[in-house]
Amino acid sequence: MRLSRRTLVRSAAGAAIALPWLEAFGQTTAVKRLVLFFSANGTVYSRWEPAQTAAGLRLSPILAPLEPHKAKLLVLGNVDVKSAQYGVGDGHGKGIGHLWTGTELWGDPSGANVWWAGGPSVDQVAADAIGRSTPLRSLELGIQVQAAKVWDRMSYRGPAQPLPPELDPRAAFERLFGSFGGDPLAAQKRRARKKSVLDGVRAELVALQPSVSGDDRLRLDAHLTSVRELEQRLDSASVPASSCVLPPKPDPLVLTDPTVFEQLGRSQMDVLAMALACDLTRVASLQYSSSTSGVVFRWLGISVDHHELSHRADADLPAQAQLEAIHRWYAAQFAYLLARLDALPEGAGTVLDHSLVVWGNELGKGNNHSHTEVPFVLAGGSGGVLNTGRFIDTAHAAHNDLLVSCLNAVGVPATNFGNPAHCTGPLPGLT
Amino acid sequence: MADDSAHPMRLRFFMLFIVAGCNRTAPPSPPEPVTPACSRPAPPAPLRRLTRAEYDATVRDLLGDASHPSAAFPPDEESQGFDNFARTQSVSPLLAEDYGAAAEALAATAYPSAAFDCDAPDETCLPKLFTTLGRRAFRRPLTADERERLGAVFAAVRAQDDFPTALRSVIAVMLQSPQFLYRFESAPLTDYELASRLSYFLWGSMPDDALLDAAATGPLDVGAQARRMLADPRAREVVRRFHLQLLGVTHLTDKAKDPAQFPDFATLAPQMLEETARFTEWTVFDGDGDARRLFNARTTFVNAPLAGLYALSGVDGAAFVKVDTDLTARIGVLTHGSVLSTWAKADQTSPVLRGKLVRERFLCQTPRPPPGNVVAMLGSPATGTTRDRFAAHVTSPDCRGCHQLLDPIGFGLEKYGPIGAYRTIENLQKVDATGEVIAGGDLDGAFDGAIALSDKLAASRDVKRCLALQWFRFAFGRAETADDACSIENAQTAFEQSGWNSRELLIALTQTDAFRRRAR
Repeated sequence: MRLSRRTLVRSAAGAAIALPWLEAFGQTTAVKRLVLFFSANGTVYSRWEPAQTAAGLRLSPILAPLEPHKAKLLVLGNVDVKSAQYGVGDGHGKGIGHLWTGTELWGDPSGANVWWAGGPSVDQVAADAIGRSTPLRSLELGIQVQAAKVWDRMSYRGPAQPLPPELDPRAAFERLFGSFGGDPLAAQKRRARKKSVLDGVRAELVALQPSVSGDDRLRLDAHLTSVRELEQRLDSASVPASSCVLPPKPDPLVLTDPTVFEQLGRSQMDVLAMALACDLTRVASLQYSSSTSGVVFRWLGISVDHHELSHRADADLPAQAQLEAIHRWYAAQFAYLLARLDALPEGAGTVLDHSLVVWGNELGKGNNHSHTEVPFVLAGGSGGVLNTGRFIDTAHAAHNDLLVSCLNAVGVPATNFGNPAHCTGPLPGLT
Repeated sequence: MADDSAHPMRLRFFMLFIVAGCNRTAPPSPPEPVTPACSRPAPPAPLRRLTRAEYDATVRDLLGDASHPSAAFPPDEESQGFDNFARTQSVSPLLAEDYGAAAEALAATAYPSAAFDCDAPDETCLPKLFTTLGRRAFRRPLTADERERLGAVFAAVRAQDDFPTALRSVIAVMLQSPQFLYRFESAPLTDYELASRLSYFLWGSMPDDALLDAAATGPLDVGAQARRMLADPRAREVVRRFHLQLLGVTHLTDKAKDPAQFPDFATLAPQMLEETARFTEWTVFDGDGDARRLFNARTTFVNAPLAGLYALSGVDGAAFVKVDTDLTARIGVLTHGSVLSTWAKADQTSPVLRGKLVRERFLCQTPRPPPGNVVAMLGSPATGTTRDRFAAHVTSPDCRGCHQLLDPIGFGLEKYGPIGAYRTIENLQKVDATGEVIAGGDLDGAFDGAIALSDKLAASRDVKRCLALQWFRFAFGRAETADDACSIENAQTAFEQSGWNSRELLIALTQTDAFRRRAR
C-alpha cells in the first residue's frame, strides 16, 4: 500500500488521524539522520584497511562488498578507542560499552561487577536534537543479541540506562506500522484514551518520586522519562519522504534459530529503512549479536564460533581466512542496508544521502582484545556535509573525536563527547 | 552460634572474594574477616522491579491470565548470574511501551471477569475495584490519594467513552503503576511489605489472600507463613529458576554448536534444561532436601533423547522419568548436558569456562577478567587433546597466575565433550581427566574426573556456604554488603545445623535481619 497524498489528506480531515505522525508531509526541511551499525570481535586489519590512490578509494578484500557504494563511503583507518584504556571491564565489555559513549563503565572498583556504560551514547545525544519531533525518539534493533549484560548493550539513554534492542522484526514492524489504516474516528478516540491512561501512569510515578532517592530515584526518573516519551509520541508530527510506503510485514522466523541470522538482519533492515523514509524516527541502531559474539557462520563453511575463532593466533592462516570471510559477510550486510536506504528517493537525492550511517566494532583485533585500529566506516554523507569517497588514515585519533564529528555532521554543535580527557574536538578532514 | 560467629575462618566465603594478585603462585590470602554484628544497621534495600517471570506469575495470580505477556518484553538485565538485581534493572522506552500494550490487553479481559466482581455497571464499581483488585494489585490497600487519582482517570475517559472502557482504563493504569511494577518499601517495613517480600522470594509472585489478610491484622508470623508457602507448587518454580540461573544455563537454547558434530543439539537443548529443572527441584523438595545431592546424587531425570546422549538404556519416549545413574558416568548437576554444553565452546570443550563455573558459582569467588593487553592465542582443536592446547596457559608465567585457578578444575571434566557426551578418546588420544583445585578453601586438592570432583563439592563446607550466599543474592536481588555479614552467617549456620537441608535454608533466610529490616 502506498501512502498517497490522498490517503493522508483524508486522514487529516476533521482532525481524525489514523496515522498521527503523518500529519505534515511533503517535506522541505533538511532532515538529518544517524544510524549506528555494529558487528563484533575486531577485524583482520591488514585485510580491512582500504587505500587512497590517485584514482580514489580502493576497497580492501573485507570491504569489497561495498564497491557499489564507494562514492558514499568515508573509511577511517587507525582510529583508537582510547577511553577504553581506562576504567573497569574486560576487553569486550569495555569495547562495546565505550564504542558509542566514549566514557568509562560503571562497576565495582575491583572490576568484579560491571554494570553499564557511564554515559549516554552518541545516538541518544543526537536524538536529543534531531529525534524530538518524530514518533520514536530512536529505534534500537538487534539480531540475535546474546543476553542482557554490559557485553550486549551499546545504546544508552544516560549513565547506566541501557536501551534494549528489539530483536523481532515483526514486533518492530507492529510498533512502527501497526496503526496504519483503520477508522480515523476510532483512532482519534483511542488516542485520547491512551493519553488519559498515560497521564494516570505518569501521575503515579510522580507521586512516588519524593519517597525514593539515590540509585532508585535515577531508575524511577528514567522510567518516568520513558512514559513521557510515549505521551509525546501521541503528539508527534513526521516529515515523510516521497518514497514512504507501508512495507510488507516481515516473515515469521524463529528468533533463536542460528540459521536465520542473515534473514533476520535483512528483515530488520527493511523495517529500519522504511521507518527512516516515513520519518517515524531519525535515529537508529542495528546490532548484530553481541560483543564476544559466538555466532557460528555455518553458511560460510565455518564450524568454530566467531569469538573462539577471533582468539586464534595471527599465524593461524586458515583461521585468519575464516575471520576475513566473516567480516566480509558483515560488509555485505552493511552494503544491504546502504542499498536499501539509497533506493529510497528523498528530495533531490536519497534517504541515504541525508543520513549518516556509522559501522563500528568493539575491538581492533580479537586475540589481544586491542582497542587500537578499530575499524570504522562512515556512509551517507549526512546531506553533503561529509566529503565521501575517501579513505583517511587518522593516525591513531581518539574515537571520541570521531563521535564529536558524527554529532556535528547531523547538526549538533558539540565540541566534546564522552570523557573529555580523551577528546580534542572534531576529527579534522572529514568535511 | 556466638562461637561460630566469632570464628574468622567461617567468614571467608561470604565476602565477595576477588582472586587478587593473580601472578603469585601461592594461594591469595582471604580478605579481612568482618565480625558479624546484627546490631549493625540493616542495609538499604533497593527498589525492585518485577522480573519478567514475576510479572507473568503476578498477572496469573491476580487476573487468572496464564498467557505469559512478558514474552514480548525485552529480557531482564543480568548481574552476577541473576536476572533480578535491582541495581541493573531499568525501564527503557521499549519496556514502558511493552508494559502499556500488556496492560491494555490484560485490562480488556479483566472486566468483566471473575477476578473482579461488578455485575451492575454503576458508581459502586469503582470503590469495589479499589478494595478488591486494587488491594491485590498494589499488594496493600489503596491510599486516599491513589483512589482520587485513579478516579480522575476514570472520569476523564468516561467523559468520552463507555463505562467498561473507563473501568478498563483504570485497570490499565494500575497495571502500569510503579506500585504494581515495583516493590516499593518503607522503613521500617510494613506488614504488607513483608508479605510481598515473602511472596516474591518464595513464590516469585504476589501474596495470596491469606497472606494479605494476615498482613492486615499483623504482626505477620513470617516463619509460619514461609513454611506454609514453601509447600505450595509456586515455590517449586522459584527453586527451578534459581538453579537454572545459578548454573548459568538459561541461555542454552540460544547457544550455537557446530552443526556437523552436533546436529541434534537444538532439539536436545530444551530437554537438557528440563532435566536440570526437574533434578534441582527434586534435590530441594524430595525427602530431607539434602543440598549435597545437587552434586553427588546418582539420580537424574531423562527422556529418550537425553538417555541417548547419556548412553542410558531402557528409556523410551518424550516423557521424563527418574533414573538411577549408579553405574554410569553421571553424577549430580556437574555432569548434566545443560551445564557441560553451556560452559563449553561450539566445537570443543573449555577447561577455562568450566573452571570458571566452579569457582564463580560454587565457590563464590570472582575470577578477574582477562587483562586487555595479553595476547590469548589458541590453537585449532583438530589435533591433540584439549589439555595439550591449554598447556601454555599454565606454563606461561603471564597466564599462569589466573589460569591455574581455572583450567586445572576444568581439566577434570574433559571426559565430557562440548555437549556433554561421555568420551575417553579425543583425536585418537586417551583423555586425561585429572585435575586440581587451588586456592579454593576446603575444596583444595587433586582429583581424577567428574565423579571425584562432584564428591568433593558435596563434601565441601565452603561450597555449601557459598550456595547459601547465592540464595541470599537471589532472594534479595543484590550483592551482599558488609552489613549483611551477620544475616548471611546466621542463614549459613542454620543451613549447616539442619544437615544442609535446602528448605531449612530458605526458611532461615526469611528469619534474617536482611529480610525483616530495612534501613531508611
